[in-house]
Amino acid sequence: MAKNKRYNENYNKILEAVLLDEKLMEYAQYEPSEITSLEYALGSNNAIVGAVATIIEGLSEKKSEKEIYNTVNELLKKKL
Amino acid sequence: MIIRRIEIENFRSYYGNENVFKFGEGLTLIIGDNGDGKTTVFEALQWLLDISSTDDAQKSHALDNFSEMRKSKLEIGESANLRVKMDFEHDGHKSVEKLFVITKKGEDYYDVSDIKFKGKEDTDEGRLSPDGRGLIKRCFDAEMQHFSMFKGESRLDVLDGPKALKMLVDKYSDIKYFDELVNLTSNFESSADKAFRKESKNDENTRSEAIRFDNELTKLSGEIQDIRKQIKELSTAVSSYETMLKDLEQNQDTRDRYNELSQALAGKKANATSLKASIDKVNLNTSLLDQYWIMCAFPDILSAFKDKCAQLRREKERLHDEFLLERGKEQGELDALKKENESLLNDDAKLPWYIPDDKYMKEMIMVHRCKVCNTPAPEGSEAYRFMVNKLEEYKKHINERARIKEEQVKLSKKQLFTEEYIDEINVLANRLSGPEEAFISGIANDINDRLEVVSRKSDELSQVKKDIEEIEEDISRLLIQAGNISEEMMKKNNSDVNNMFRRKNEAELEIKDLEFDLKGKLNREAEVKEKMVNLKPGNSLSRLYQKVHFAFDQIAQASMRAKEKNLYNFLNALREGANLYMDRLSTKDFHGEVSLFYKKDKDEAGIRLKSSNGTYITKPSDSQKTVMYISILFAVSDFAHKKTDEEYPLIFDAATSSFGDAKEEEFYNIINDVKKQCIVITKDFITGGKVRMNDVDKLTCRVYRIQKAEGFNSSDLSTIRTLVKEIKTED
Repeated sequence: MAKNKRYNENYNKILEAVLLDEKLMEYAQYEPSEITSLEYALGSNNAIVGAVATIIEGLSEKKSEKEIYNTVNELLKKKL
Repeated sequence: MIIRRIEIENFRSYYGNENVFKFGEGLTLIIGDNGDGKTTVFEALQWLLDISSTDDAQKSHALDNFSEMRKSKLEIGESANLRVKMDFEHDGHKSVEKLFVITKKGEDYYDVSDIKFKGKEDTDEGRLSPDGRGLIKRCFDAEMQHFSMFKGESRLDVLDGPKALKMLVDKYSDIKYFDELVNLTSNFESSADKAFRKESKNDENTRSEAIRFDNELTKLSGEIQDIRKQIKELSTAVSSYETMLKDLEQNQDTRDRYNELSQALAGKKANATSLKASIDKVNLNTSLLDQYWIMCAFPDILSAFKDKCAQLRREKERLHDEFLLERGKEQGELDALKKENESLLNDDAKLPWYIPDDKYMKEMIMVHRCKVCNTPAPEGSEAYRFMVNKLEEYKKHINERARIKEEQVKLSKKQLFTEEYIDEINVLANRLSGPEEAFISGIANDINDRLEVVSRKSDELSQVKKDIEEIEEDISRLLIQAGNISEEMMKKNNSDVNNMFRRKNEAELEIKDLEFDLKGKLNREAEVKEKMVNLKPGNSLSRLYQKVHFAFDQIAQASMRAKEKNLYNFLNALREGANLYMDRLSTKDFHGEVSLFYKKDKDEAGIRLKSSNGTYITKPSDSQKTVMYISILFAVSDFAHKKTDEEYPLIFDAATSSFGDAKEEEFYNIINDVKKQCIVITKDFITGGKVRMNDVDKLTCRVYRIQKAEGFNSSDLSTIRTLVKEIKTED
């Protein structure tokens, strides 16, 4: 996965580690090699990839739990 | 980061400003015997690196760390530094110094200056002087210190403790903050689940089942929460028992010594109580001393009185004898005089002096005729003058006789002692002797006996009190040396230990029962959730909430698995690294392999030693454990180097005490070869208070000897001073 400097290296690694989970791949039907960075994942059409990326982005930006949940919940409602 | 030099000025036993340690990039040993100031070096460094305490807190404790010897030599108005400085390499040369200036203002009154915490840093822009606190935070923060500085053997296990694994993984694994993601996604799943369940109850197709499932899930959730809480509490108790039992096991020798001293102390204290009671029991109250104390001296006074009486009596007798002799002499002299008088007269005339008498003589003179020889004696003749002379002679005799008689009367009346005082006091002395004297002597003897008992017991009590003080000092020293074990723990006896084992076993059994219950409840919860998930909602909103919940659940599970995978990868890498060091550190001995395991339920990791055939070594020796822990620390240090591109020193205080003499030299030379900066403060290489220089000379590293200066007073802290001497340079 290509690294994007906008986000802390650590959060890119977390995203990579979660998206490499086979069961999640199987459920969400995405190809991890196509997801090059957190920034890229945030713009993904895949609901699960987008949701994971939004959660990690919220974590990196120290957003509140409620704010992250509401954002991701709306995203999933829209895309699922 | 490489420490180059540490200066310690007036910090506890490190008196003056000449206490300097220099360090190379490999191993440096600082060796000293008990009480020589080993731990003080370590604590001086901790004091310097402490950036968490406030300035005021540090100032208020400055005097506690100030050298007692320096303090005792300060004159009023004079100042001295309390200072520790460290020079180090960390992306260039840097130094940090913590300093207080202490001024004696009066007897027992000192002024402590504000803290001076200075840094120095060589940069491309020249030498900068940043704040010391900031420099330490940047170069050697508390977390880094946690993995670099180790006090005592039992603190070498970096995975010991509830937050140890998280700290290690966050610090050194490729990925950190995974826990936050796992918690967050787990909470999201719960929220989505609640939302879905709520919506399901509004759906006509699923309402009745949803309500039933929801009620059951709510009930299960409460029960699961309760069980988890109980398990957590019991696990905490088990962990606490384990820590205590581990500490007890590791400090068995210290505990034995403590118990030995405690028993001796209890014996001495009982003895002191008994002596005090004996002293208090002796009756020295009104019935005895208040009435009779003045009589105590009576026998001695009476004896002296009798002696004096006897002396007086003897003196009187002597004087009386002399008096009698004198009187006899005087009498003799009178008699002689009388005789002489008579003889004189007899010589002058044939007739006695009284013949003829004065009347006859006067008549003869008157008639001018000597009627004795019947011859005429005319006036002016020889015969006439003879008669006149004879008459004069006669008168003289008569006068002399009268005088002598008078003298004799006087003499006969003369007495030396006219009063009977000496006889009277002798009678008094005799009267006071006998039964009265015996009675009063009895009382005096009784009093003396009692006072003697009190005096003897008081002496014994003083000695016992001195012994108590010595034992208490020994106990204090022991507790200081033990460091990581509380006095309360020291007091645990075998019965307490058995009790602890019993309670730990009971708690473990209870945990097993609870875990069994929990497993059942979780399975049931999963079943009910599964049923809930498989409900067929009639309306689209319910279906959407169902999908959203499922998505959150999948993300939460994936996060958990990813975290575990990251953890396993990290532990594997750590294990591999540690085993490479195990091979290097124990080339000649059986050393086994380091095995790291993860306890998912507690989110903790542990270290075990196992044989290459797969058998776990349940009770490794202390030295095997030490090698194992140090190997892991070296591996951790490699992670730090990889992650930060910086090396960090490893500083051990008394971490290798389990090594036998034979292993010391080999072990230290290998550590020196590893080429990681290690500073080991130890009492190795000292036997009977002497450094075994033959063994030290075989070392390849730099060695410092720290030692109390001679001539100290063991009970006076202000006489204790540690001297620092480099006894071996680096090869």
